[in-house]
Parts: sequence; structure tokens; C-alpha cells
Amino acid sequence: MNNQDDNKLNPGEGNLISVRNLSKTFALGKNIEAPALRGVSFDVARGDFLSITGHSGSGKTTLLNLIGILDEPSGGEILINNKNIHKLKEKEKVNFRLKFVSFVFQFYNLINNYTALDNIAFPLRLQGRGYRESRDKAREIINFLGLAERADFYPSMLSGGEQQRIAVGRALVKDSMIILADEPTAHLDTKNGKNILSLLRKINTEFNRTIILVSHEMEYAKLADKMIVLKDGQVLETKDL
Amino acid sequence: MKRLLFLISFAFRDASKNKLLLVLIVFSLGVAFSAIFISSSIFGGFQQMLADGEINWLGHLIVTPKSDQLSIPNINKVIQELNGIENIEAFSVRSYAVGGLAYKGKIFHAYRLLGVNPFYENNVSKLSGKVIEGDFVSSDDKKDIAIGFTLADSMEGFVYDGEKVSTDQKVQVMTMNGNSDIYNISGIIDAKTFLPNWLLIMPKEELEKLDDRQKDSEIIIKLKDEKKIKETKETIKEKNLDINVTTWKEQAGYIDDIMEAVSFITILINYLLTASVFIMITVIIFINVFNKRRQIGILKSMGATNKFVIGIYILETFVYAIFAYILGFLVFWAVHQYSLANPVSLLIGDFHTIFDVKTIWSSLITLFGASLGGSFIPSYIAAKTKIIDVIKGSV
Repeated sequence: MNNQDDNKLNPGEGNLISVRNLSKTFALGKNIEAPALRGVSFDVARGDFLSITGHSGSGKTTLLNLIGILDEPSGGEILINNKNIHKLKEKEKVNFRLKFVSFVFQFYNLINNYTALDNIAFPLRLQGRGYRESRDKAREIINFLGLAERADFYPSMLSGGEQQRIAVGRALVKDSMIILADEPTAHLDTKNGKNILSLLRKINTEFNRTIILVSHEMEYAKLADKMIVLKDGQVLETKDL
Repeated sequence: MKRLLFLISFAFRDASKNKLLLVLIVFSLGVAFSAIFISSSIFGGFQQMLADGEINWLGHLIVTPKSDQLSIPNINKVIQELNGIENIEAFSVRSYAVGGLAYKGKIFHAYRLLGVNPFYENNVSKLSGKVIEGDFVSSDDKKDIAIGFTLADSMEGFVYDGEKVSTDQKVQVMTMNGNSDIYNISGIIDAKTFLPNWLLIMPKEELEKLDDRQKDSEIIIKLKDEKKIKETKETIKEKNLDINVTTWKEQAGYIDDIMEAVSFITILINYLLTASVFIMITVIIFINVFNKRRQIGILKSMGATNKFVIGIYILETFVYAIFAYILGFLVFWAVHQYSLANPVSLLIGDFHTIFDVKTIWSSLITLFGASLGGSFIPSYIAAKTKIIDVIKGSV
């Protein structure tokens, strides 16, 4: 994507993300369809910390995947800086994922044969940055995470909480506008879960990143600035916290 | 460039992540690769054995009279012209006759009676080097003859029973014109080719005394550069000497048929083995991709392009292929060295495998091509799969 293309998604005035009448239906078999999202609409301003909560099957993860262009909607649109991201060309979508959005997954999804430091540096290497430059930046991040002494450890040598912090570091390192966290605390104990939430909050305030957190645990969802409650694929409630 | 280096480093680390799997893949591919090298080497060795058998007694080019003549006309002019051709290293004029020999009251027919001048003959053919008992014919003793192994075998007991006439036996040699004389068997040759082993060889002048109708009926030619055989043949033909010129391959028609059949089998087996490598690589990469589909999803969610994903698996395959090629080559080399040290003695020659650099290079290209093709299909499918599907592991 060239600079002109980049500008399409660069921050401007108004909402960073606008979700308009979004729907997603999954085909479960011949003539059987399961609606996961039905007419979902909301806005997210730059620097917001939004949580999306709801029961299992309410459509939280589906919504997050659509915002990250991991999946395609059945209807409606998602605008980022007024640009419909699902109408981007394939190359632009790849660039969007490369530069503008980061994911934190439920299962950490670190690369097993890369050290903690190399896992954090990974997105930068993918962007085409040099080995030394990427590792220097990753070192800053790992210091911020408080895991400097674990830099050369492989994922299998780290606890679940440490692995998730490394995954958050990986999301932070590439200066993306938006961090999408899908149940990042689901496999962590309460203490580690709170640590991850604190870390995301810190990233939100110190680095002014827009964070969308999906969590089925109300306790964590309430730690955000705004909360959307989904039920059966529809927005049940929107709250400023 | 930085992206490419990263891709290479990622692919290498990914391929070597599971050492046991790497060893198993390299081992299985290495065995398939060595099978290709060894089969080519065996069939190449077989062809070489047949070719050597013919060249050893016919040289590279053979000059014969036109079909309506028994002898080469203007032999001196032909000799003079041959002497002037750059690529000719040596040549020998031969005479032939049809006949047989009498031994212990029985008459045995020879394939042909061959008259040679030992001095010139030894510069071209290797018949004198094929003596297994006694000595080859010499210019000094005109009454000495050498006979082929099968002919000698036929003179005692039955053919191929291993019992043969011994040297220094007196035999009566007879030609079709009714002439005959007594000769001494000075040597027995085993040329490891069908026809020469039925020959009766004697000094050229002596044969011509018995029957000179096919005097100077063949000139065998040894070339300096065998690769220029067709050009040299044309050069001789252009001299307009009223003669036939043939290559050893054209002369030995049935050998050529066998060699073509062997070539066909070699190509067929190599195609099948290459196809098996292709399938093997496809299956390996399919399994690899299936096991790593979540990783592929994560990479793509971070912005990895389809090219990057395809590149990973193609480069991984190259890593496997390089190690497998080295392993396959080492296995082949060990077999080849053993074969050279322990050639198998067959009726038609001493068989050993051959090391042909051209074949090794073409195998390298073919195998890497098969590996590349085999890895492309599954990695392309993986790259094209929807990210959400690979992350969820639903494919």
C-alpha cells in the first residue's frame, strides 16, 4: 500500500471506528443459517477503551473478527476513519493488518521456536524492518512489560500470564492504532487476568491506543471506559463507565 | 531484502523446530533421491557395459565396402585420406573370411575368421587385452591363432558348460574356398560381447593366404574425441571414397535396440521416482500445513501476505530437499564405490555403476523442481484459506 492508501486509514477528525448496521450469518448446512450478528451499530473514538461483553454465543468474537478483517460481514459496514475496510482491496487489507490493527488472542498464540523477545519483534520483521532495529524496539517493549529477564525464554518456559503479556507486547510493538483483545484473560487466573487488564489500560493511557476488549467476564469488561453488551447478536446496552 | 532474509530465517527455524520430524522427512526423501541416483547409475552402467563391449572390438567408426563389393577398393587411397583426418587417433585394416575349424574329429564353425595386423589392431581394438588364457596373435608367429571364449567353450563338451579347449592345441582351420591349414591356439579371448566370443582371429596375411576374397574388408577407427563421431563420419564420407562408413552404434544394431530399451526403462523409472518425490513432498507439506494452520492464521492476522506463507513452505521444502539430496548422494556414492571395487562379471561384460555428472545435475534440477511443485500446491491452498478458518482450525 502506498502513502496515499495509508492516508485512507490515518486518523482524522471524528470517530475512529464506526460500525453501521452490521450483520453476520453463518451457514451451518444446506438451507440452515445461524445469525451471529444482527444490525449492530456503534462508534469508537480514537483512544477509547471499549469492552464488548455478553454470554457465550452472543457474537462478541465474531464482531471483533469483523473489525480486524479476519472475516467478512454478511451486511452493513465498518468504517475506520470513514473508510469501509471491507471494501479495501486484498493488498490493502493485508496492509491494514500489518500496520493498523493488532490482535491479542485467547490462546496467546506465540511462535514456539522464537524467544519472548523475538516474538515481540516478529510483527516488525514482518513489516520489513531489520533484525537489530526490531529487537531494539522489542527490548523497549519487554522492559515496559517488566519481563526483561525473560527476554531469551521460549514460550514453553513462560507461565500463562507471562505468555499473554508477551502477546500484548507483540500487539503493542508495531504502533498500530487499534488493539483487539479477544478474551485475553480467559485462560488466566484472577491475578494474572487483572494484570493483563492493567497492562491494557496502561497501554491505552500511556500510548493512546484504541483498545477493544472482548470478555464474557463482567468484572473485566467494567474496567473499560465504555461497554457494549451483546445478546443474541444484537446490542442490548451501551454504557459509559 | 530484509523481508526475504526474515522469510528465509523463519522457514529455516520452522523446518528445524521438530528435529525428529526433520530427520524422518530428510531420511525418507533421501532414500527416494538415492533410488533415483542409483537407478540412473545402474542403467547407465549397463549401457556403458554394452557400449564398451562394442567399441572394444569395433572402435568408434567402421569403414566397409559398398554392398556389392567384398573388399574396400583403393585401400591405399583410403588409408592416405584417413591419415589426414585430425580427429582420427588410429585405425586398423582387417580382413575377413567365412570358415571353421576341425578339432578332435569334429568341425566347429566360427562367427567369422578375422585377420588382423596385431600392431595396428592393438592401437584400436582391445581384443588383445581380453585374452584370458595364453597370448594374442602376433606378427612373429604366423601359425598362431586366438579364438573367442564361446567358440573355445563349444569345442569341449557343450556350449556354456564352462569346459573349454585349452591353448597350445593344434586345429585345422578351413575356409569356404576349400583351403585349410594347421594352426596353434595361442590364446583364448573373452571380449564380453556376443559376436567376438565366436571369432577366430589370426594374422591378416595368413588369413589372406587361405582366402583373400574379403581382403581389406573392414577398417576400424579410433577417434581422439568420441563426441565428434558424427562430424568425423561426415568428413570421411565427404572424401567420396566409394565406401560405407558407420558408427559402432549403427553397426551393432541389436545392441542399439537393447540400449534404447534400457534408456526407456531408465526414463520411466526416473519419472515414477520423481512423481513419488512430488507426491511425498505434497503429503509432507499438506500434513505440515495442517498441523500449523493456527500458526498460519496468526501470521496472516499480523499481516503476513499469501506470498510470505507460500514462501515459508517452499523454502522449508528446499531445506528438506537440500539435506535429502546430500543424504541421497552419499548413499549413492557409497553404493557406487562398492560397485566399482566389486564389479559383477556377466556374460556380456563386467558390470559396475557409473558416476555421470550430467545425470547428477539433471537429477538435482528435476528433484528440486518436483519438490517445488509438490510444496506449492498445499502451501497455496493454505495461503488462500480464510484467516478465521485457519485460526479456528476448522480446515
